[in-house]
Amino acid sequence: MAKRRSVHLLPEVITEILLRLPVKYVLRYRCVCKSWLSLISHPNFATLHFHLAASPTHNLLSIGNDCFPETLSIDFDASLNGDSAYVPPILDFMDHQQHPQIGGSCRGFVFLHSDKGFYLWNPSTGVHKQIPRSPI
Amino acid sequence: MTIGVKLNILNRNILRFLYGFAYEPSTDDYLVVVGSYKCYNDYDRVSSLINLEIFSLRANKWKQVEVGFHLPYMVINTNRPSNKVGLFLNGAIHWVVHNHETNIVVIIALALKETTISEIALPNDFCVTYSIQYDLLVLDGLISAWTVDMDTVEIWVMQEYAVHSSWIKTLVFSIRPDPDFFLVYFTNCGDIVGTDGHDELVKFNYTKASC
Repeated sequence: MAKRRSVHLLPEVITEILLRLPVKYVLRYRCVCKSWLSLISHPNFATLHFHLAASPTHNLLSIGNDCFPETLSIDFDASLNGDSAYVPPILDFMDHQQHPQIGGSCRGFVFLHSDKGFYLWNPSTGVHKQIPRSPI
Repeated sequence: MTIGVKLNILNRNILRFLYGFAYEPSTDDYLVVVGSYKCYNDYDRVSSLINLEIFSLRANKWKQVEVGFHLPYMVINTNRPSNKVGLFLNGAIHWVVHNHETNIVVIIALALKETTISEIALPNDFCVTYSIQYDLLVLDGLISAWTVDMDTVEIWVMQEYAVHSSWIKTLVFSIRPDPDFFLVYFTNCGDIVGTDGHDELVKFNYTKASC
């Protein structure tokens, strides 16, 4: 039986490698181990990753309102073939009765407006924040 | 005894919205912009001026935009979208609107750092009516205005920001059979991507280069 050789990389090297990977892989690698999860979840990591991204991607995000807010995301700069539509982001904090619509997007965040209020949403991580209603 | 209540449904006011979302690097802040105005429910008569409000994510607060003059603008309503989403570029959010005082279709730009509003003229031949689809997109980092009239797509680019004479008609082409084409994006590879009105995406290549 061949002897398995384990490779030890310094944490700094691992960070540098992860920073250079596309966002969808980075998010998947949160499941590798606890240290990677805490590394990737750190707010500084997201900021550094955004600034280092060698080629920012441009995605089309579509929200259907037929029976539930079904989302679809396509990487524009890939060939626009069916396989470039990757796992759609899940919009689980709204239901179809709220009629969510996109009011703009910027640096990976999406502004959603609906019958029940305004939300900022990161489709990559699924994190969202409700915005208070305007008192004016 | 019956009490008759007369409902004046035809003259009911409907709120219409302009939306925008932007990042302001000088304050490292994300801003949500909501413009609202009232119109009668036939959609082409406005009954109020635009009220603009900005939400700062950092301050977690809404603020009314005071620009020192009133904003007599409305969206010319086409089939979709019913509310207008602004284009964020050069630190400003841009919407194509109809100035109902001067009766001219213009771009209004809300500069976020200065909180000022200015009008940017569209090309002289840029025609927008109720039957024409139109909007703004970014093409090679510049503001581009497009229209789809029946089967003809026209694309204009403003070579120098806010300089009227720099508008150039860069592309005119026909699509047959004429779908309900609505442009969404210009890719880095020279593709024009749009929706065809039947839940399908369509792309056209306007350069010979391919990726």
